[in-house]
Amino acid sequence: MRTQRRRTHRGPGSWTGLLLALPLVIFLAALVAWPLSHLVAAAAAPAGAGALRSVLAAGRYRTALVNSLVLSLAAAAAAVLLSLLPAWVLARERFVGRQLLRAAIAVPLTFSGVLVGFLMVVLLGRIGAAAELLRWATGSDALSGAAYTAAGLFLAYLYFEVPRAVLTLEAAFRRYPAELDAAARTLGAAAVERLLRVRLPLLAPALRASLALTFSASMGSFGVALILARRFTVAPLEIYTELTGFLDDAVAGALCLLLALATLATNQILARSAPR
Amino acid sequence: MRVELDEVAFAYGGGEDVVAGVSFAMADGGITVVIGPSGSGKSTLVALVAGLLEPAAGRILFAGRDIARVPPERRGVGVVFQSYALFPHLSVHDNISFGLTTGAFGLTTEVSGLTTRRLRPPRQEREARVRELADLLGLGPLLGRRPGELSGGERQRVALARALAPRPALLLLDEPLAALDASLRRQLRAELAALLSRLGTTVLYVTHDQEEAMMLADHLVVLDRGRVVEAGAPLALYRRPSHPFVASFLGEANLLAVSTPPGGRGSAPVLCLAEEAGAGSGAAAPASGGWLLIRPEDLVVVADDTGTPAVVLEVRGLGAFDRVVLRLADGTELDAHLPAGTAPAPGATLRIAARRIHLLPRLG
Amino acid sequence: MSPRFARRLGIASTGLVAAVLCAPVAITIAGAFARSEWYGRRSEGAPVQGAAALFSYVIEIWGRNLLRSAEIVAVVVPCALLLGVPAAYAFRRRPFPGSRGLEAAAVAPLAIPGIALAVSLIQTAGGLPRFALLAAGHLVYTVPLVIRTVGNALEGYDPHLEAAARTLGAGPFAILRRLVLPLLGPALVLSALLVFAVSWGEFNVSFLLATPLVQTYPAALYLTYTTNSFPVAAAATLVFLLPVVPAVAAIQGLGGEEFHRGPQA
Repeated sequence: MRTQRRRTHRGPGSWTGLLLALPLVIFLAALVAWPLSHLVAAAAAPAGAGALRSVLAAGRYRTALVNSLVLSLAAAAAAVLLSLLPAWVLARERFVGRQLLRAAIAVPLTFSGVLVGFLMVVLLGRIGAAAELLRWATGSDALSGAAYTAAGLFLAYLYFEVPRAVLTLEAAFRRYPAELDAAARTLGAAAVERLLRVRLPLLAPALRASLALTFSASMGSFGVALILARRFTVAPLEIYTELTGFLDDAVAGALCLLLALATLATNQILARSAPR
Repeated sequence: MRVELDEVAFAYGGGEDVVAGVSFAMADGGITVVIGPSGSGKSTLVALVAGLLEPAAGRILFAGRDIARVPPERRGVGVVFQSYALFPHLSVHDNISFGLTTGAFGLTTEVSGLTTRRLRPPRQEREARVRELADLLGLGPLLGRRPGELSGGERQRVALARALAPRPALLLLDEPLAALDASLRRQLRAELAALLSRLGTTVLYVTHDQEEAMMLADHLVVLDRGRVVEAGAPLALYRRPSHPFVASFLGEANLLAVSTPPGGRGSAPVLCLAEEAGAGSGAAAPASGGWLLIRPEDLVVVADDTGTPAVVLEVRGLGAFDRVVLRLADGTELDAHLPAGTAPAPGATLRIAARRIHLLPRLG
Repeated sequence: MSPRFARRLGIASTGLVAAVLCAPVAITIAGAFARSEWYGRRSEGAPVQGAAALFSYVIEIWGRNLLRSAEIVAVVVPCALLLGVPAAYAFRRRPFPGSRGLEAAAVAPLAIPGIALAVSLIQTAGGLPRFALLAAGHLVYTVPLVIRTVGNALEGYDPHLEAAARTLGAGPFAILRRLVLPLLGPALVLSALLVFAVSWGEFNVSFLLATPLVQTYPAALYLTYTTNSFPVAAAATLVFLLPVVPAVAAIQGLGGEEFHRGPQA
């Protein structure tokens, strides 16, 4: 397909294509490539190198980076696992209310981090609804203020990652040819064998792509932490604190660089060989 | 294995019956071809026999035993899907051996006594079987490739090898040649016919292609809108169908209505043709009227003046024969296939006779 | 387990996921309309009585932010389309050497944390007017959605249609006006809705790039969550949701491709 398209449209079209894409080239160069390369350049300069060393040395910054990485990986894995069944059902089953369920799962996608953080407080704050419910039912205060712990942050990440994972997986599941399952059945494969030998290998790229997407979303998550992180810190929050509190641009820059690199690198590993 | 369908019915999600009370039997080792236009329920029928769908009513008997509720993984049926459904992540070798390696969880059991299939044969046996099928179908050099790297014809053969590997007692083929281009289809049709009759497996073959059906079938079942219209030996159905749908669906046909008006015997020139063919005037007008079937290749030009006069309207030389449109004195138009190069120019008058005719009773 | 039971179980668990996701939103909406005593002891009570008064209070204190968000959206949506649509067309129909790499580069920023980009923008382009900087930040995260959506749509139709139109005597502008734009219509509407939904909810980039005095509406939400009583916060959230829900419904109706990329949280 691709080679054919190239063959038919090569030649005089090239210049038109470049011309059409020129505004985008200028935009990307000025507002993405240049600023990001500046981050790298600043980190290479003496002041930046010092900041980079202080960030990488044991301490608050490194803890924040490690926290971000671990929390994001855990939340991405949990979100993808939780999303498997809903995504399969939305992609494969036809039932009354399907569109409504899909919309209900999709709406939280447009919520910014602070809104998600607020919703967590509504559920699991000091007098959150779920916390109050537990207190009323059992008299226990166990959930009161849970939103502000690492677990609360984890749940908040799940809250905005599950919709992303469901929608990406649903698209992949819909493209999955059901007749392959049928073929495997006629060849004697039972349900477990079909899952392990046909479905999983074929859907692995989609699962990895979905993990990469949810992971990146968590790594960059700033608004959630701004509301919830009281006894716990993550990298975006440290960057913000450096910028506004200590006004240390070099440390903020170094943190940004490391956060972006960690995100892009993990993303590459997860999405390796994933389709698009 | 003898297979019988007994009043099998199926409908998708409360809709109209896609398969409505279908009954027919497949002889052990015979090739049964189900032919019908698209939407006639052919593919649904394959899915029902394979166990991929559960019939709403009726029985499906494998060697006398009702297996309508047995899941497909236990039926021991080989299926060649219309799209081939090859596993894109597995090599040709692994596709073929897939059915020889299933049942690892002990969940798959044979329908005892119905299949000759062995569960998870040892490695050497498996390799020997793959090699045997690769040789049979000329897939040897392709064993290491992925389905994405194969041509349409190669994929078709891999799908066949994969279905045959576990030695199924029944092989189902759902339009296996439909995805191929015409010349390849013609070539593979002949190969497939030779292969299937050599294998001696019971085969259910579904197609909409009339030539394919005639070439392959021991027993032909014509399906329309979920019902069996007629079934029988292919040549008998072609020459002596009892249903006008079958007459026009199998090959080209001149179907002429023969009515019995109060005082008459129907259209004179048509009946004259029938008489020429020796059908006799009495037989030409059944009590309730009916149709007269004349195949285009059965119309011949006669030299003397015994034939029925016909005016040539249109001539198309098709190489193998000339396709001619003729008009009889009463306005009836007929298609005729005359030997190549023998048709006169349009406007000429010929005298024609029918070598063979068939009368269909009016139904209903 | 019978297939029918498995199916019902699957649908039920999908419903459960949707319910859990919606529960806090429902509680928040209820909170906006309930009297302040309803919520319990921490809430010090809405500064005004009655739902109508509550909402006019929200507009009163955050009206400027709403206006700022509306301005941003009004600039970002057309700009994202102008940057993205011709580029997507070029990538799919007029590929040039390096166009594959450029497409990948245009989509890559989606994986870069917004705060990192915001910091780097401040450090390099801090001299630009803040509104322009803010719009640029939004564009970095919305243009990729346009490129993807329009690219997918272009792959969905026969590349020979344009050749067919040319043989029928259509010039480049006639092809654009009578063929390309009508065929891409739904994709363009979907792109615009996606850009709107993302830009309307964007916080991470906006919060750092905007001047503290004039922030976008999501930033106002942050302030209201940290300073106002629950009913005010709930009412402000509802104001945020009002344009979002119909937009999401429309996006779903148009197929919702690429929607999963949403704004960064």
